[in-house]
Formats: sequence, structure tokens, C-alpha cells
Amino acid sequence: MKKTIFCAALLIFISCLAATRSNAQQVFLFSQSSCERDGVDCESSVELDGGIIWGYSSTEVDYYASDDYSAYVDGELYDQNVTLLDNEWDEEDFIAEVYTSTPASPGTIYIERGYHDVIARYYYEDIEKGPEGCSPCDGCNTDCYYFYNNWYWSDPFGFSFMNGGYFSDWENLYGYGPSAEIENDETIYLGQTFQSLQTPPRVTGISPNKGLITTTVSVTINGNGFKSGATVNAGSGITVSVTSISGSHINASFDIDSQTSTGGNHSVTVTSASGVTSRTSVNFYVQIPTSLSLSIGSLRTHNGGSITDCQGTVLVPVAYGYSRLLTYTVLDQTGAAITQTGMTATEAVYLVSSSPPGSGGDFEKSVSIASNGTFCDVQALYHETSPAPASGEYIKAKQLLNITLPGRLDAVRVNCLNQQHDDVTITDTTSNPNASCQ
Amino acid sequence: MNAKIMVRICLLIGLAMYGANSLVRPQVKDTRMLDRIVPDFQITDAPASLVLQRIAARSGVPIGMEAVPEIDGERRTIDVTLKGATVKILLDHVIKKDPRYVWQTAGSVIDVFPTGARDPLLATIVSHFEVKNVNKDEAIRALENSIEVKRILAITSLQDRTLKSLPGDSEYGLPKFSLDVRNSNVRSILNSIMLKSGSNSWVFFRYGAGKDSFSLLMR
Repeated sequence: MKKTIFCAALLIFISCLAATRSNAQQVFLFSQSSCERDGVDCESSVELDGGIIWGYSSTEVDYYASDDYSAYVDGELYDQNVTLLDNEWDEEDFIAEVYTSTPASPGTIYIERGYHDVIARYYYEDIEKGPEGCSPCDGCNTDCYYFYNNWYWSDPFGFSFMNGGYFSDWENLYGYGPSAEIENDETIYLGQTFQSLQTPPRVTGISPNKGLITTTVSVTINGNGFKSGATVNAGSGITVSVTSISGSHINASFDIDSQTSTGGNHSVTVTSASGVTSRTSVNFYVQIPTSLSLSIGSLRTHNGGSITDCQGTVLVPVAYGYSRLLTYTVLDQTGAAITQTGMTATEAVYLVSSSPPGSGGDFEKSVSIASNGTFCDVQALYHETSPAPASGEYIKAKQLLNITLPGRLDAVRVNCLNQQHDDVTITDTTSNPNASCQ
Repeated sequence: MNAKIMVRICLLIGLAMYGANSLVRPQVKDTRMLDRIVPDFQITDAPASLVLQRIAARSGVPIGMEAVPEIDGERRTIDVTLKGATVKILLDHVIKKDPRYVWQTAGSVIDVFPTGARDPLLATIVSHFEVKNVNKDEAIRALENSIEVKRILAITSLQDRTLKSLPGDSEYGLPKFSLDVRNSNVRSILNSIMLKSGSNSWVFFRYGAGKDSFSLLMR
């Protein structure tokens, strides 16, 4: 009986151990190497970031501290079937970057190969004394001398170069290093050092990718490598609350502060519980009401009927005169419509002049903005008795339109309202808010 | 001193105190209203009616104005620039700039009218004016349709030709109220409508070749 209990306990312990191991965060290995010889520095690294293999190779040539020598580096990445995954030439001198375009599959062997091309340049001016048999140069910078030198270097990849003899003009030397094989959970030695690294989360998308300042927006962040305890950062002024996490999704709410948040793109990153932050990020755009576009309706004539707004609501039961429907759309910094609820338009109209003198006056009102970012207004000039306004009757006014959100007010448009006896017109003067509107 | 004399003395003292209170109470209210400070008031090239509308809007003190009849489209304007002035100072300043007007308090309202003849329409007594659940425009229409006002409009061939505009004069969403007053003149009823509707001002003036049109705008 005691043996049975012992065996059962042992089995449970082993199972727990196995479970712990299988649930442990997968550790990928990458390697680094470096060399420094005869003025030539070179290094190479390979790492896994969000399932993507990244390889870097770089070389620095500082031979005799001159720029007579330069190096170009390229790299290739293959899988175990010798399928070329990336051979993109990096235009940057001295640094090459290779990567898989799709996430790497565990168990597949990936091969990174770096090419270090060294170009030796020889100028006349760098040579104090030419070899015998050559004519002295009279100060020109043409390749009028041959240069004789011997040099040799090698790096930890096995690159080796030798220069011996005479060269004229430019000469290109190049060499190839041996391939290095990288496999998940396998320590690869390339040169002198190696290092282990946890896989960082990878962020690929966010939806929605924009939100209105002062509001709280529920977002879904897409990617992989998301695990319990991960946190999200969306930059200053956005307080993030993570509501749920799965392997490829994080649901969170973004509380966009009215004062401290800045408009425009905010970089969103995910950090694992162990403190590893995604190297990839996505942008979340904070919208600020910036302008109002206006669609002006056709002229309507009223002969005793009512004046209605865009929804057919009666604003004036009996009128003799003219009107137009105005539809405003709230736009953000990029000119895109802000399609979120919570905005209010505040309209202030200041009388400029009128005839008969004494007619009209100032006026203020607030209008709720629909979820599609629009609100309706009506411009009209009328009498409540027949006939309609006669020639010479008019009201001119200046109109200020602001968009208000909790804790902030954004001035977005200034109009001149010109309401004549036979038409009503509107002019945007936001470019000159001090326009007299006479 | 017998009991009857004592009762008479007490009655007299009581009446005297009541009378004193009656005299003092509106003055206290008026003083408070007139002492309101408008931090920064500036307006240029504006008719007195617009200046008074803005004083009313900025100070929260309701003002009813009977403007002098318009003469051939003449537009008389004034400039006012005062910082930290009380309503009283502002009103006095306006009257100084445009001496065609005087002002006086009427309860919690300030009435402004011409120094010369006043319009008989505003002095017309309405025996009973009652409206229920109406907005200011509906109330004014009801007032113009009262027997007494209709009669004087007919006699003088006067017609309401108030020039109105949108978005300022929309009736949609205006606050509704009820009012029941007796034996009040039109000016006083307009003040009551202004107070009940939460408006700041009203302006009345006659215009047209024969002064047969009038404008009555409450904002």
C-alpha cells in the first residue's frame, strides 16, 4: 500500500514537472560573434523576434585609420530545404540584414550566411614614395603610381583576404564565410560568445486604430506571443487598461486624456510579464477636432409654410422668405471625419449690421453631433407675415463654431453670414478669424 | 389711554412699517442688479439696441427696449469700451452716448425708452392675458392677438414685420411656460414673457415710410 502511494506521488510529481516544462516560455537562442584584427572589426548576430528570424552582419574596416579601404556586407537566409528566404541586398555600407518574411517554424533549421566584401582603394596621394620604375607624380590625384603592399586578415567566420603585389586603379577583393546553422532551442557558437533571449511579443495590428481625444476607446491588439501578465503602452496621455489576453489578441481600453494626450500617432507596444517589450509596434491615432467641412443645400423659398431642418423638424411654423440647409462634418488633423459620439458643437452668432437698423441680434446654442460626425444647421431670412423680405432688408452676422468635449474646447470655424432679401450665403473666414464680416 | 387708542397706534405703526418695507424692498433688488460688474465690455459702431442686448447678455440683467422709430434707414451707432464697469455705469454711458434714451428699473427688469414720445402700443393695457405651455414667440403672437392690441393695431394700421433669421430665431426647443396677468400694459407683459422664457432682452421699434411696420424681437 505504501509503495502504491509512493508511486502515485512520484507520477504526480513527474506529471507536474512535465506540465511545468511544457508550459514554460520557449527560449530561443541567438549568437553573436566579433573580431578585431588589423584594424578590421566585424560582428554578426541572429535572433528571433516575434517568430521572425533576424540576422545581422556588419564589418568595419579601419585599416591604417584611413578610408582607403571599405567593406560591403550582404547576407542570405535559407531554411533546411535550401529555400532562399531572403537575399535582399542592404544598401547600407557595413551592415546587412536578413529576415524571414513569415514566422519561423519550430524544428526547422535556418541557415544564415554573411558575405563580407572588402574593397581596397589606393590613391596616389596616400603613397609617399612610389616603387622604382614609376615616374614621380607632379601632384595630380590620378592613379599614376603602382602600389606594393602585402596584408592579410580573417574574421571568425573564416573570411580571409590576402593582398600581395601590384595593383592599379581600383581592386575588389571578396570572400565568403562558412554558413552558420541556427535551430530552435539549440546553442550555436559563432565566434567567441553566445547569449539566450526570451521571445518578445510581436504586435501586428490594432483595431480601431484611432480614437477621439477625451474619450475611452475599446481596442483589440493583434499579434502573437501574448501571455498573461502582458502590459500595453500607448504613449503619454493614454491610460491603458487590459481587459483580456489570448495568444494572438489583447483587448484593452484606451482612456485618452484631454490635457496630457497629444494628437497624432501614438506607438503601441506590448511588454511581457518578464519585461520583454515587442520590437514591433503599431500606431494608434489620437484625433482632435480641427476643422469643419460644410455642405450647403440649395436655396429654399417659403411662402407661408414652415422652415424645417435636415431631419424635417419644424424650426419656424410660418415663414415668408428664404433658407438653406447646412450640413457640417467635424474633421480631425488629417481631414478625416471624426465618427465618434460625445462631441457637441457650440455656435455663437454676433450681429454685425442689419436693415432695418435694430433688427437681429446675438445668439448662442449648442448642438449634439451625430455618430457620423455631422450636424445640421439652417440659415434663413424671413418674416412671419407676407410678404417676404424686401430689397434692402438684410442681416449680416459673424458666426463662431466650436467643438466641445469634456474638458476641452476646440475652435474650428468662423463664418460670415450674409442674409439678403433674396438669398442667404455663408463664407468661411477661418483663415482670418478677425474678418469684419461687413 | 384706553384700549381703542392703543389698537389705533399699533395699527398705524404696523402700516408705517409695511409701507417702509414696500418702499425699500425693490430698491434693494434694483441696487443689487445695477451693481453687477461686467469685466470687459467693448463694442464699436453698433446701434444702442445691440449695445443694450450685449449688456443684458453679459450681465444677466434683462433689458426691454423701445427704440426710437427708424428714420429713412438712418443708422446711428455708438462705441462703448469699459472695463470692470457696473451695469448702472454702462447704462449711463450708453445714454450719454445716445441721449435719445432714458432708462429706469421696473422690478427685476431695466426698461429703456425714448426721451420723447413713447409708443402707444406698448402702453396699451390688456385686461387679461393668459397663455399656457407656450414658448416666447407663441406668447408674443398671443399678445398681438389679444383684443386690446389687435384693436390698436387695426386703428393705427400697424403690422408686425419683424425681420427674423436662422439659426438665431428658431422656435424648436425653446422653453415653455404659462403666464396669467391682468390689467397690465404691453411693455410690462413683454417683460414678464422675457423673464418667464429666460430671455435676456427685447427690442421694439417702428420703421417703414409711414411707420406702419414694427419690429419686436426677443432674444
